[in-house]
Amino acid sequence: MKLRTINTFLLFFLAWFSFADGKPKNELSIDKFYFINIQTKTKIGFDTDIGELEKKIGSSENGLNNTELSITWPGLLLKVNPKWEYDQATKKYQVIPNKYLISNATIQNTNYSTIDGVSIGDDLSKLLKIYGEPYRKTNDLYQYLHNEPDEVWNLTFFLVNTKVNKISIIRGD
Amino acid sequence: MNFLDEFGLSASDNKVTFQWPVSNGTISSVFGDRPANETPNPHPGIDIAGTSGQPIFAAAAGTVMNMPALSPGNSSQLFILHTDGQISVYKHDSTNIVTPGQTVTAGQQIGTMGSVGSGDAVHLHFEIRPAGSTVQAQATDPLLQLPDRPTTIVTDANAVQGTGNNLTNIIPK
Repeated sequence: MKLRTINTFLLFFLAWFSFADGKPKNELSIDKFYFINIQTKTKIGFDTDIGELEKKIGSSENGLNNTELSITWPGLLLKVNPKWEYDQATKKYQVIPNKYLISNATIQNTNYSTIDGVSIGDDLSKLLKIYGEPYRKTNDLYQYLHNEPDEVWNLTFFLVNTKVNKISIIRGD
Repeated sequence: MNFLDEFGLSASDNKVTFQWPVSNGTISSVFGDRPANETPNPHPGIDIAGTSGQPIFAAAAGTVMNMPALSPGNSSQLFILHTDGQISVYKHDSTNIVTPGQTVTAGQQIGTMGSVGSGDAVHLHFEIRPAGSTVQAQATDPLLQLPDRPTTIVTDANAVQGTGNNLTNIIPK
């Protein structure tokens, strides 16, 4: 009886340890991957529609650059991919005209912040207080990750003299 | 989710032998951290650049998995479950010519190369995920399981300048 109890405890411990060991380190939740346009309180993330964004924060600087697949506003750079759909019958993929998904967003001025309030010019100490220790850090870069089943997202803060001077979110494959 | 159970398969102790999923091309991005451009970005597979419509082959025998044709990030995707539980993943294909549940042999054509869901040029993103993996970041370096590179597959000089870091510090094995 005593041996069974010990075995049960051991199995539970091993199961817990395995589970804990399989969890991603330094992982941010999905809701952290948004920027905010401070003036209009508009959220900008991977699910943001470019057309809707222009209605909310105003026209972009030069419209969509079809070569670079990018679109900019002062202090905000978005890289986009065309949106596709799959036709089961023909087993072919087709571009949906004029629909784009954001794959990469970068902010570079104080018109914007992360959804948790970190903006350009903030000190590293504020960053650490809000996000904790990153997955990767160097003198000029702090990076946090989020794992999706088919993607790795990253939120990266670029630093100059311990002050944030650029922030990006990237949806990678 | 136990994919082997789902497909009525039992795990084999014999590790699958993989072959190259394309007959020619250029390795444009290696596994691990991408080359140090603007933002370090963990890359859980290899990219092989090629031409639109170029055949993609099953890297080993297995069963085509029932996954959505498009990832949440809008990349086309095809997954093959192998008898040892490992999963090979093929992304950005312009067509898939196999169907979920279908068994395929090693070297059988499964699709054609494209750029669906990618802002880059035409390429195949190829991954190998270990048995029991649940997120993309658990993928392992395909080059460790592929045979020697044939002369028809070359390496982009920029691709090998990446750090080549593995991703084990994202998800402990």
